[in-house]
Amino acid sequence: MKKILWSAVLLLAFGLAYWQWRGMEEPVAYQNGYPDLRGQHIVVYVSCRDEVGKAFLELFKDKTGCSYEYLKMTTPEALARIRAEREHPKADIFIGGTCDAHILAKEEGLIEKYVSKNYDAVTDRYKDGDGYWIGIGTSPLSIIVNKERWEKEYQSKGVALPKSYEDLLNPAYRGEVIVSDPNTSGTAYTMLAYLSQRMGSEMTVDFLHRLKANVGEFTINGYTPAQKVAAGEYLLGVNFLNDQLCVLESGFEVLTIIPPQCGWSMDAVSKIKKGPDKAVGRYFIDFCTTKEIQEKVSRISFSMPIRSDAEAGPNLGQFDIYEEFDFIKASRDRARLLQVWNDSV
Amino acid sequence: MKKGPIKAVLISMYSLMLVVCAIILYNNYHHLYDQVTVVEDQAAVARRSQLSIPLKIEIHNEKWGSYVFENEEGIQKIWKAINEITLGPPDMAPSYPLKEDVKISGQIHYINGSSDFFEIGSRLILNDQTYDDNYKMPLIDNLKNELLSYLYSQQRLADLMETAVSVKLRVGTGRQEMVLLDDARQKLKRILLDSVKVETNREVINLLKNKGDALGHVRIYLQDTASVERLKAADLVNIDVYEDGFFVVQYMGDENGRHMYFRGPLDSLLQELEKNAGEKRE
Repeated sequence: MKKILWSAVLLLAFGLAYWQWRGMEEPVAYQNGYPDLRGQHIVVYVSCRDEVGKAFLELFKDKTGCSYEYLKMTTPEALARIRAEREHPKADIFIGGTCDAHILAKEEGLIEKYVSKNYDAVTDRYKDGDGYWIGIGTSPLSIIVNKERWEKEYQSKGVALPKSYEDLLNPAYRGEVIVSDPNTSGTAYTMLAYLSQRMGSEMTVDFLHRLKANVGEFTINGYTPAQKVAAGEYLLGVNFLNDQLCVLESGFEVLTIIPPQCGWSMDAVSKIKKGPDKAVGRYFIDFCTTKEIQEKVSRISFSMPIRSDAEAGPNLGQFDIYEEFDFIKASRDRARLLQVWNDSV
Repeated sequence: MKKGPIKAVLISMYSLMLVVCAIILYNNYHHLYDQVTVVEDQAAVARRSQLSIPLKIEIHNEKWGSYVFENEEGIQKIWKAINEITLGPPDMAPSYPLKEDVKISGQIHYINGSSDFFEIGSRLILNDQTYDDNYKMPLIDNLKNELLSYLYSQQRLADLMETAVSVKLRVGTGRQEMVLLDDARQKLKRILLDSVKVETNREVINLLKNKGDALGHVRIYLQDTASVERLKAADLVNIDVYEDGFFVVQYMGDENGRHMYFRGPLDSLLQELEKNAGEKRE
């Protein structure tokens, strides 16, 4: 009887060892400080500007040899997709997208814990305390103004330039403001959550009612307001400064105004739970948070790096941000705030 | 040895083997699930293959003209993307008109002579069926951008020199714009025609990392600014000109803010035009 028991234990041990072996990752060699990932592949959902996503991935491919494919989408679309694929995820990494989406993904068990090798080098407010997500760049919510139209049509009437988000409610701007829709845009949701936390619910509802009267268009993407204001289709818009610096670089005459105590957010990166490739996603997260890559990408993304030792790209300085902005609260309030938005707007 | 223990050993071994087989079966199923395609019977497959071999795909946009896919790789790529979006039941067509600045229509021609019509903007319409649920939106957006990238060709950019209402040049950070006349537009057209589209992401990122400030900007107006109350972003194409024969084209109506990268001596033309303008002023 003992022999039978031993045989059973032995078989069970073999079974467990086999199980464990299947989940093990092969050791990776390093070249010039980067893992050699030739022959490996990463699938990424990208919610930042196309060039920024490509920059991270192309630099990763360049340094490690890992091939990639990506799907670009807005933050809520990416979250909905990861949620829908929960049982059989098709992507390894969710990059970009305001960090409230990553917090929500953490709470819903959609992403997995990975404490990056660069975790300690990243400023505390730019990373999850439990290691589920980590920032890749921050940007303030800024007001963009078409300077030519402003001078031609408004300055002469004695209308002052907006200095705060509340100034966008001026009836002189009726139909001239463009913002994105928080149902489809992480940028707009950041604005909504920021207003709610700074003003309180009642005042936010009032603000949204009055804002609606001035808004000429709600866009799907957070980037679009900068483009349409630059072209002169609208006078004013709100989105992240990094998007506005893009059109400024293309020589469009726009003004960017960062209000005091401004709303802000950060794009983050996280590893999708049960993604197709276990190890490569972790290397990618490490890669995105190195000083070298943070500095290189900051020149393309116009975002502030999340490491204090990394140098920011051009036109980026210090901003008076609303320090109390609580990303976790923003994430938890999502359903309620979207309801408030949809009822008001 | 007694008969009883032998029987017990055999039963135990047999049970254990069953458990191991069950584990292996579960494990294999778990790894293969969602990756196996179940095909129908031979007749159904033959029927389907007759219907679903696309031979040619034509696309058209009001501002960016037409493009015909005739190479197999391109056709398969577009065809696969449409199939992925149209998998599953269609959605209800919205009862209100959608605000769509950029819309592409197209036709898929099949080997059996039949064809399908599609239209893609903020939704996909295939024949009479509409597809626009939230899960499919990124796929729709990606396909629209993919199709747009084929329309953003050197040839089409060059054609814009003939059809654009006006082409203006803005140098440096100044507000002064120079309207390009026929001669300058023809020179610009030739450069655009001969330019090379930078297709690899690697080269694009290298260019982005190393570029300095733009030398100037070419603005192509697709609509007469005097005839409309205000210019729409969808009626404007911007070209940022950099040193070393590198320029970036951005169609301001592209909601994803996609930039296209080209190599061509636009910097030399810009300097020549600036010099000529300076001489005239003197």
